[in-house]
Amino acid sequence: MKPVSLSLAGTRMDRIETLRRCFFGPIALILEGILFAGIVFGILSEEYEIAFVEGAVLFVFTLVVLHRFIVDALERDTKVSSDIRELVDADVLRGIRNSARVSPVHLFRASLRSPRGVFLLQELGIDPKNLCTTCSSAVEAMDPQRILKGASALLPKYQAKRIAAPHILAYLLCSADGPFYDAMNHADIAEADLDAVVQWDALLQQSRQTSGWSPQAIATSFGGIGQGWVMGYNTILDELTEDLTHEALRTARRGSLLHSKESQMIAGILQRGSHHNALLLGRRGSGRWTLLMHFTAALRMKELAAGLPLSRVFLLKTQRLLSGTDHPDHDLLKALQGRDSGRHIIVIRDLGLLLSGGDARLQGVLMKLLESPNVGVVAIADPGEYHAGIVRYAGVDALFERVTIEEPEEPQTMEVLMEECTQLQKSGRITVPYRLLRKIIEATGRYVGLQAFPGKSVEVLREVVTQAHSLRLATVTEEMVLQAISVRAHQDVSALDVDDRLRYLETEVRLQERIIGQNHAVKTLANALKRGKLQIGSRNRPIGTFLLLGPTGVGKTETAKALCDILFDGSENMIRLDMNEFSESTSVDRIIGGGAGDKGVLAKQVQQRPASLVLLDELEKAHPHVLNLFLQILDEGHLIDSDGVKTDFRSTVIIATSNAGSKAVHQILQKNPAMPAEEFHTQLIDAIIETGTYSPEFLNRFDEVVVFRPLTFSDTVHVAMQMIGTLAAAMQKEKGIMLKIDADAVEAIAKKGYSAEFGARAMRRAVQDTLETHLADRFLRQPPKRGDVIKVTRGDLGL
Amino acid sequence: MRALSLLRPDSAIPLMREFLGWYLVEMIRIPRRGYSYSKAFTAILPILFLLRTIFAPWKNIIERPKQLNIYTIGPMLALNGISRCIGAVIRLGAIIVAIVVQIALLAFTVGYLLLWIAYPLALLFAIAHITVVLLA
Repeated sequence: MKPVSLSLAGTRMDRIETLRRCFFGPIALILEGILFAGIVFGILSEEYEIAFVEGAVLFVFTLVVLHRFIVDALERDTKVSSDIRELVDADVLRGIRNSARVSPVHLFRASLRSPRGVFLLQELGIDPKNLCTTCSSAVEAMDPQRILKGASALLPKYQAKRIAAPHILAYLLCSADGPFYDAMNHADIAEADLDAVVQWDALLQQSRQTSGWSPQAIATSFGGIGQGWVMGYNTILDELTEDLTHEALRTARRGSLLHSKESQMIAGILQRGSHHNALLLGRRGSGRWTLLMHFTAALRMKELAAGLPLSRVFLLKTQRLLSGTDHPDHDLLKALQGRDSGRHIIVIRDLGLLLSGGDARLQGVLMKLLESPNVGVVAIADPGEYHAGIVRYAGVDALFERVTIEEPEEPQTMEVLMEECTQLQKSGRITVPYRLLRKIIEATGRYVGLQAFPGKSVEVLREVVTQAHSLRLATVTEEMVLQAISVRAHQDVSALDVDDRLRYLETEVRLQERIIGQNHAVKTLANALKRGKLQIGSRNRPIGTFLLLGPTGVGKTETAKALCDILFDGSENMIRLDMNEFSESTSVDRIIGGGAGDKGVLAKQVQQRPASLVLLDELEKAHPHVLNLFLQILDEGHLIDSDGVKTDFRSTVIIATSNAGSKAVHQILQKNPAMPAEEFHTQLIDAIIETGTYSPEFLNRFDEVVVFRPLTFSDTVHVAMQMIGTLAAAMQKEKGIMLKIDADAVEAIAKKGYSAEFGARAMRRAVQDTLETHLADRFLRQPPKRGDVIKVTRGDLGL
Repeated sequence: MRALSLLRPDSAIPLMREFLGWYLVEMIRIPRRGYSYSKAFTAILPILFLLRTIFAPWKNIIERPKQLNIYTIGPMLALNGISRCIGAVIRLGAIIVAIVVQIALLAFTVGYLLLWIAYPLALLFAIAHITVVLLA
């Protein structure tokens, strides 16, 4: 079948592109170069000099005029045409040799060759050559008109006016089946990721159109030189403060993506006649400093444009003020006396330090600053610092207007990262694939709890780009990203990440090795964890939340420890709370903090290690108010402490253990010892609800309520064997001695360590009292040598 | 060849029309652009502001002694006078630079505009002149 083609010849963009190629294509440039060389030679030959000079000027001017026309024509918005061919951008036409006969493959290959198309595919991790090879045959069968229609339907979504390479590729990747779908899956790209990268391309185009030589850019670069000369040059001011305007003007060339509303609030506050001081309250990394820089730059540009007296923004060097001057009140106030027209805005980065470190006189200076009519103060603090250090000074606090800087969500953080990446790529030509930006956000959100978005992600991005630059690499790698995050998270994230899937897959097998006699419980737990990990269904909660019920000494706490070892690489990542200690109503303060900067025991630990296992031991002992707190965590995946700071629990596994219903367990199993697991589970839950220990609503909050059965004698023998096995392995490793113990000796120890009331809780004590004591005696009488085999019988143990 | 397609009437005429329209509109844009740059340079070095503050003390360096007596007035007047003189000299220099920049910008804009207006005629004239000279 003859391939369908369409003609793009005669369209406006085609004409402009043809004109561009005629005068500025590679062959044209060579010819022009030869012609210009001829003209220059003619001038130098001193014959017909004037003619050649005229020719040179006109030749160059003609090229300038044509270049301006082409650039303007390519950038200029055109009227919306009903003819879809008119919407095709020069970016695509550049890659098409014969615009009169454009087949779908031509469109596809032109999109692959275009710089914008290459950028899109690079960021998605798709090799253009490979895509061309695998998908060309699928594209051949398509209708080019249909491709253009499909791409044009995407234009409103991406706020674009013309069909460019990214739109054609986006249409093909999302809409077409077969090899395109495979290519997306192979690169692990979802439609949302594709959208994000196309938006990134649009951002890049926008930034390229903003010229560094525009009048606004020139005015921003230099600022107001003349106005600055009437302002106070003061050694005290220079010593105690740092002028932020130049840094602000340099930073603000980037687009401001976040907190525009808060910036307007600051402007409004500082313009007031009284009460004109702002306190920016937000966690470290939430963008407080960037917001201040943008505000400063915007203020300066506004004042320059309007011819208003310039405001000066100073950063107060608090340490210097506290340590360096004898008379801070006299010096600083005098330095700021309003001989200058225009306002002074003092930025205090560590207000808490100033208040706590300074004496009453310095606090008096601060009060005078806050009340001074032509001095505005902008302080930056995080909620902990505010509650611990600033709220206590009621007079100071009353003179500030609080502006809360909320931590942005992940989509907004991605926009910030793209913007930052664009800037870094400009200077360093290092490529950061989109999937690594996603990885940075995901991993910093999961493992770095002490800082907020977007700062923690931006820091990691800057570090890896710098590292790639120093290693002369063209692309940042995943290893670099994980390494950078591991340093910040104080744990080896790369190990957790690489083996993550395997860990969850092997959870059941590995738990069975450690937990004896609870196969059904282990299976239930493992399956629920796998579901939680893969986030089947949207999940905005912890990875898994479990209530382990059963009598004492059956392995509930041991299960939690084993899980922590398997999933989080060691018990140091377990946060253990004994609910016995939270049995009073006032215990709520210990969980969420008592205010004034006290974070609370749980919030603090989870912020330090967001990927942890939280063990709530003996849940039935907790006060009902404390239980209500945990409902917030179980339902929403976060806890808001007394300072209003949100702690994210979405990377945790929460395990609560409870002995509730222990009596009911024995009663139920006495009637029918071989009761099936599901029936036992149902009867136990009913019994617990009947006693009122837990309400059905509370139990439903957990992903699973896992019931542990009492251990049989055979199970306790296994437990004893496991403990003895651990002891034997330690002896072999440390002393080179092999321990052999008779089966009846093991049984005897098991009998000693087991009771119906306390399960296998006393097993460790039994092993210590019998076997370890016997070994200690024996080794003291006759020290063993490496290679010895020690045999222990029941009689040796006196059982 | 693709370049030859530009010579076809259905391509050449719309292109010429667009080019001529753009060329005429540029004549208005050139002075506007010149004015924007002039405003930008005025924001950097404001001539009127510098004139108004020409005798202001340089960087506001002045002295105000606590007690006015015969021993303090002299040095105070000397320092303040020197500060103002330094300010005046530097500002005068800046004013001159600003005026030169603005004149240069104006000259460039006017020259560019005249060249733009005269370019079509100049092009025809130059082609004729070169032809005559070469044939002669």
